[in-house]
Amino acid sequence: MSSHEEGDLKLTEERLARISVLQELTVSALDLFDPRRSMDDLLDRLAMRLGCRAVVCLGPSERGTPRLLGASGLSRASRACPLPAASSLEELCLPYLELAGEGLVRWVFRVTPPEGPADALGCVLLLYFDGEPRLPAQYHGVVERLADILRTALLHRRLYARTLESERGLFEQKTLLECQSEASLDGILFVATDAAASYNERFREIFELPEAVGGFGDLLEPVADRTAVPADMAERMKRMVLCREEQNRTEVVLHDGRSFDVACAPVKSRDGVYFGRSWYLRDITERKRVELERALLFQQEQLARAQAEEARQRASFLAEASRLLASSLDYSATLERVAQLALPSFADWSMVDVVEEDNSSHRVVVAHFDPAKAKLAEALRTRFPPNEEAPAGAGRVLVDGKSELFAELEPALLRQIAGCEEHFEVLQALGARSAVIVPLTARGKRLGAFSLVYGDSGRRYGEAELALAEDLACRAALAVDNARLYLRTREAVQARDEFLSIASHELRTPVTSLQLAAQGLLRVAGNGGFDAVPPAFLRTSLETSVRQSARMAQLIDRLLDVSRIQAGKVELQLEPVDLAAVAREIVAVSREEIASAGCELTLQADGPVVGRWDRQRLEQVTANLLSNALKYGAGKPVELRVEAAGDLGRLVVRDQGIGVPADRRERIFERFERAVSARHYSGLGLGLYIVQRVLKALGGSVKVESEEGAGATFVVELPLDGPPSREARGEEDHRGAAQG
Amino acid sequence: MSTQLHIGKSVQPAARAAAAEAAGAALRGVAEPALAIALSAPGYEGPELALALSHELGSIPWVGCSAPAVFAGSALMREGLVLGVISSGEAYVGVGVAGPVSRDPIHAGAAAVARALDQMPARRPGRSRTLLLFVNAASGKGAEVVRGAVREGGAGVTWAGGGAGGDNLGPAHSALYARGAAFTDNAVAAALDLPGAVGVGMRHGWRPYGPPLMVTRSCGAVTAELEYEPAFELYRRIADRQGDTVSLESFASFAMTHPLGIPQADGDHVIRDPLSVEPDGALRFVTEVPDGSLVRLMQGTPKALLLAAREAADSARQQAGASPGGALVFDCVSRYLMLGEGFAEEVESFRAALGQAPMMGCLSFGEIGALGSGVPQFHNKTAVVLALPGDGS
Repeated sequence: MSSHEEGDLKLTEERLARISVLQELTVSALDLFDPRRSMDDLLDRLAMRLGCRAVVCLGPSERGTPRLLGASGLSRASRACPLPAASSLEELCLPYLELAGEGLVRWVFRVTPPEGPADALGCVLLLYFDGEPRLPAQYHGVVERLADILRTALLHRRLYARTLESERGLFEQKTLLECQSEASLDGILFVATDAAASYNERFREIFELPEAVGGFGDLLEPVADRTAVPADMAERMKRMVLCREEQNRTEVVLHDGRSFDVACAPVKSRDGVYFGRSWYLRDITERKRVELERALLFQQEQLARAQAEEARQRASFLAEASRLLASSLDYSATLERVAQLALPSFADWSMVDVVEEDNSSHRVVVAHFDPAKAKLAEALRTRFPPNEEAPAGAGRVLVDGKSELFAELEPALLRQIAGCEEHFEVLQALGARSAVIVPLTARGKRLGAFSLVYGDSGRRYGEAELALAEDLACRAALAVDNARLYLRTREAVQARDEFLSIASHELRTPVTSLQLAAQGLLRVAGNGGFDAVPPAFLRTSLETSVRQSARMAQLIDRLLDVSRIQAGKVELQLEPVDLAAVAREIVAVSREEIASAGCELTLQADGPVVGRWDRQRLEQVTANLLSNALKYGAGKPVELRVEAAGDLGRLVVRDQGIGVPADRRERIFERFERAVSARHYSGLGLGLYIVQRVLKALGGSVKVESEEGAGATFVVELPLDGPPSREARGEEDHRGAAQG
Repeated sequence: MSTQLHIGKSVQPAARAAAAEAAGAALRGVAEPALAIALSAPGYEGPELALALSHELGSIPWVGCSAPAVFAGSALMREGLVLGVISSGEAYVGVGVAGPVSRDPIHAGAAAVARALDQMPARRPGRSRTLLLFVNAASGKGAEVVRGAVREGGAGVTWAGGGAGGDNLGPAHSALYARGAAFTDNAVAAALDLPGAVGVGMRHGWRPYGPPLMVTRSCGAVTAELEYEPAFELYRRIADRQGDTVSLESFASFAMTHPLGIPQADGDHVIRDPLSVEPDGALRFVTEVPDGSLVRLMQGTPKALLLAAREAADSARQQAGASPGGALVFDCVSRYLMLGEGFAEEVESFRAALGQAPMMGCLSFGEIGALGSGVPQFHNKTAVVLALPGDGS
């Protein structure tokens, strides 16, 4: 090989080596585009290929001070050395031990970014050789070219680093948002402008969705189907994507009953770029439940308050009613007050029906709050007594003693209660839309019925009103009963006073006669002694004294007899007694009295009527009835009849005198009672009472039939077998008590 | 007191006996042992040998590695143990281990050096600092380990070292020794401060063989494509053009004498040793081949290799002084395989260049050092000679 050829070969090898070095270093430099790659890798290769002792790349720090960007051949200790400040990096005196030796040759290359005063200090690439490098001169150019590449790489590296930093920041924010979204207790749905849908775990749970769906369209059905009204939900969702700017808040109820507060709003950047729309679902089931409970509690509290107020009003009403009812013992006034009590707060109109002692009933009061209807109400009282035949109404309550509530009085029902068209029309005219009818019962005694009626006021009775009416009726019934008892008591006191007057008078008469007889004898005796008393005068005086004493004794015996009877001490001497003979005997001993009365007496006793009776008591009964007939017979004929009727013996005493008024027929058998005033007829008023009690002891009975002014007929019936035994009587009494 | 390397050796097959014999010889008469370096040939269990050596060496710091063969003086030993003890009255020593190399080689290299340097005092003028680095070459990451180590230790120190291995590059046959234990997937560093200058010489003797080839796809130690073709195919074709026939079967022996060279700016090359052909036609090297670089097929002659060995030793001796206190040699195993019987001549070349200096060394899978004055690199098929300071330094 010639020297020329050797020269060419050497040049070729040099070029090849250069190309190789440049190629390798360029590839390594391009790697620096990735900011995660170390600049040291490039500098290591540069040092290795060029045989450098060290390679250093310097640049400015963020504070503008020099900074080691990368190096090869420097130990860790050297790299950690702080760099001194310098006006330019080229003039910087580097403190590295590796560069401390003598004879080092330095190549300097600027790696300044093409723009940007921010990097005023620029970057430099420093290559250190042990002595002058034995390299072809072209390698300086190679490194310069490499510096250009490095500059571009650093620029891109910085940009890339910023991009990575931005991406990392975005990723961090995205991750944070996703974490917040996933951690949220609210369901979140986001629908992008391209209808892509995304949602968090909570939203997925609420609607039981798969992990991911393609688009908003895929969500419509599964989400809507979970709600109580799927069609409505589907419509809302469609509107959600159509109305970009709309912000609204609504409520969605799932078919399992859970409720969600749904806020819908557009998602925009700060500068107004629209990204899509979001739904935020917050479970308000618990809140709703609490609200509902609170509302119920409030309602209950209001109801309780209303009930308490109502109870207070009722108590007040009842207290007022009690006060009013207690304010008078007048029977009529009490009934009037009962009717007025409920008006107008508790009834538009009311009426009171009473049951008399003879079980007859009649309407005593009808009161209406409207004075204009008072006349009509009065017509109801006078013309339409309680109809006990009606299937409902006051008459039925009087019979059954059970309350009736008519929350709604339909015309058909009202017509049934009325019983006739005219009554129905009156009721309608008074106004009858709702009614409650309660019995007036006191001390086990049915006294009447109390009707409360709502008319045109529109109010209605219910169970509460019924209870109040019954309570009111109890108080009213007591008041009525008290008034009635008071009346009876007054009548009894009057009868007693009358008896005392009569008894005094009856006792006074024989006493006076006795006194007169005694005084006459004393006067005569005072003038000349008893020897001077004419025998006739003495006889007459003594006879008068005996007669009046006997009368007084009779009166006293009768009083004592009454006392015994009242004490239950009627002692009977039972024996076979002929009632006809007793009658004849009494008639016989009463001839003087019969004559005195001026009555014609007829005794009809066809045959003996023998029974097991007490003779004296039977005589007493017969005498009392005969005496009674003579007293009130007005001098008209009196008829006695004795007859047997089956297993009964019957005594009939009939007069044609003044008779017994109907309202006194029951009471004439009570003590101190009489059919007429005592001023016109003497007597204690105990005769019939004794008759009734004696007959009861004998197991018999007495009843009176009479017409006022047309006489009276007393009929006595006695069992021929006598009174039932004591045991039988006891059993009978017991059975009777049990039957009530 | 000057720095001196004391060498003991043993061919005892038992680790304990070998350790005792070698240590007994190396330590005989040594007053101030500073650092021991153990190089073991195949046949020992790493942990067992480490335990035995620790027992013998006591508190003396020591490092080392396994190798296909070791030598003490000019005697090449395919079996046995060579133990060198560096004595110096003014030596400072630090030892560091780090790994795993297979997971993070740069960090392993840096951490091993950092731990070694942590035990060292601050550097003082008039003293040289040497960093011996041992790496498991089976990881295929020797270059990265060296880069990490240099980033920690810097270029201002003397670097030397080699890749450990046994009969082959299988990890089971590789052992790294440090701190009384044996390691496999690690890097071991020993820092040594000595008075005087330490010399390092590094040469390989290989020359370009074919046209430049662009590495168009490479990942670590595996080069998949050259010039956008499967690497082996292009490699085979270029050899074919040169009149050499290469097949898959003959690749190992042919590649032994035809490595790749990465051009340096000064015209030299960093050698990369092809190990095997991958099933996809890629080529696996002892360590990385930079992606995007233009590489050359290289070839060498025994004469050139022997000459390079001599130059390496000369260079080291010249830096260390006229009479080095000793020399440590890492010579690529493939040079031994290529030179065959002639390898004894290479060892003799070292010894001749180093004069009377005690010399020990091993066949290595990768050599660590700097070609010229640049930063240290991981090399293949190269000879590295470390000369300890001598009397004249």
